[in-house]
Amino acid sequence: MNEKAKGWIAFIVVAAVIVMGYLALSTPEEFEVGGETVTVTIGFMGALSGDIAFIGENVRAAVEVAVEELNYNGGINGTMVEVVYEDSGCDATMGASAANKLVNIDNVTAIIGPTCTPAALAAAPIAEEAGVPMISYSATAATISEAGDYIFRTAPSDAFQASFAAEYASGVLGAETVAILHCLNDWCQGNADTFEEMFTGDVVATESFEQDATDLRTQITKAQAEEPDLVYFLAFTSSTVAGVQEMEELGLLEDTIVFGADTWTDATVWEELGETANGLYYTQPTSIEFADDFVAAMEEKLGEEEEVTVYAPRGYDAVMILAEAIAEAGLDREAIKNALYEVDGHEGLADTYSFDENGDPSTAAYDVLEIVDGEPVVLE
Amino acid sequence: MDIFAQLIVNGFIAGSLYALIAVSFSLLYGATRFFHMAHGSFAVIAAYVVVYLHRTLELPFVFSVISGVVLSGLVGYVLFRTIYRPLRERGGSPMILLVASLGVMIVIHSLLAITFSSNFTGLTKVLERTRFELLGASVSSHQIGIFFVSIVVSLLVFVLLEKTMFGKKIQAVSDDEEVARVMGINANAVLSSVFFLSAALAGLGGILTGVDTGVQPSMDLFFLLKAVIAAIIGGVGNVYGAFFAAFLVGIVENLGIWFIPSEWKDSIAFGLLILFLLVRPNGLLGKR
Repeated sequence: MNEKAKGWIAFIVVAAVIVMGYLALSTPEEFEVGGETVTVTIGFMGALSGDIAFIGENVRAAVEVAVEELNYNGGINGTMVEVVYEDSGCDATMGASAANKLVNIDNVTAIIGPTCTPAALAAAPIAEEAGVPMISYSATAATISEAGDYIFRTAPSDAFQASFAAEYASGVLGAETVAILHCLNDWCQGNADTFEEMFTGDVVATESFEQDATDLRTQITKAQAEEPDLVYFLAFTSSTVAGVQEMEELGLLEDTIVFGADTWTDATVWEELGETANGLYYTQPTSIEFADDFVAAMEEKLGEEEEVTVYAPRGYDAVMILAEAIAEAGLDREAIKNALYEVDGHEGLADTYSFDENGDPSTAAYDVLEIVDGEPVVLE
Repeated sequence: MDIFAQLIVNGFIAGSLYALIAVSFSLLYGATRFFHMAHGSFAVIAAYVVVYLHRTLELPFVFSVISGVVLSGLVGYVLFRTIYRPLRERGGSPMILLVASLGVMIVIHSLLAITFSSNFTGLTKVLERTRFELLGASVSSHQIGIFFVSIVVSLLVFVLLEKTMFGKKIQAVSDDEEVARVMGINANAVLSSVFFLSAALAGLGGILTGVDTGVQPSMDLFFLLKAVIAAIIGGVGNVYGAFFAAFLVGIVENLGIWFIPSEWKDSIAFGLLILFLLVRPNGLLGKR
């Protein structure tokens, strides 16, 4: 191939990339409503891939349900709502780039999401600086409370979850010594720290592992050596499945209680583990029983096989709360933010919400679930 | 339960998982002199084949394993014929081949993630295992099986290399490809077979890991890194060295985090690598 031909090919490739980039990033079509072409563009960030995708995909469907409902009823003050969906995975890099895109390219009015704590902590400064209100439906680490003025959430802070677990462990389960086994990311670390602080007995060992590690044998062996009454095991799906299997192999499950947190709401964990997991406990935020028509709408989107996670209605609620704030305050982001702080007693699907001065829900209640016959069961 | 014994056992289990992948990587590097970044992908491919055949289609386990091994071997063979051999024939340097193999790794990773989702999947059901006590440590029936399969297969590879004509040809090509060609050995045929064998071995290693804990597409890098570390520590291109080094890495990793905080586990293997590069760059057994 001679030089000239190569030159043409290079030019065509570059031109094609530029054209495709322009088409991909160009702003979406606008609706005509009453002669005005205005839409409210909301950004959605969720874990659409990776370990936490079970929450992200689930909430995405819930947000779609919420937005369809809003638009069906005429939108917000007559303006249609549109959502741009971005994958924030469960890590800081993806969270930051998704936030950047939504804030700087899509120019969203507000953001619903992200799913995960690491992504949220990376996205928060970006949203905060641009003055874009962000409401997460499931990022629970305690540190998010201080993440910014524009940062809200419809899920309670882990400061409550871990303390609740600590109290339950000593008060109800009678554990005097605990070993903490946690993954190395903000969510796990936050819960581990809070638990250690709040637990009235002795924390005899603290072992950690990479977020997606699957060989936890030595960490488990070290924890086992201290003979704890209970192991507080903070991990995402892959590590949980591998870890519990390894605990079974090493004989830990015979005489030690294993207690987890809301990452275990992933049904895959129990499908993979089956009967091995009998006797495990975990916490999740308490929800009002899901409204039938919400469940029906979710089933339509996801198929009947998929369970509705506890966070799906919180995602729906986040959209509705945001819609109310926009209805009141208009499209000015600062006014929306102020309106959000005014939310008091909004009755949502999962809970009744009031935001405190940090943008967190002011109340938090948790359920404890135990695995019986391979299935999680809510304890009264 | 004796902690020390448990850690040693854990180390041997880890080592046996690394061994197959390290040996196959060394074999490949020895013959082709290029750093094949997609090596870990073979392991993951085979594991996913087993997931699909055994768990989704519910075909017998042994059949699924054999299919997985053969299939990843075939992938290796096809990759050589369609990508690496043409590049080599056009005078591609090892650097170019490395970059090409990086591209291959990304493509395979994405294809697997699209087909199977990025989630973690186990290959077998947990309850099928029984637990044994061995010198004060707990092992499961699966782990004993994995250990033996790894040792036996590695030994078979060594026998192949030393005692068969084919093995001699591989050694010849590894030593000096030009001279081997001059001597009448069809180097390309040998290399194609080496790719098949190496990929199949890596595939078996991936399946064993899947049986032990489970797999996800992102484990391709994990397999690659462990294989490379063991291969370098053992002496680059030296399959026997890689075999022993794999166990060394497994044991040191597991014993190591007894003494230092467990979050540093991954760095132990790399620390060991750096130590060897400083003190004994030719590796445990040196270059063949």
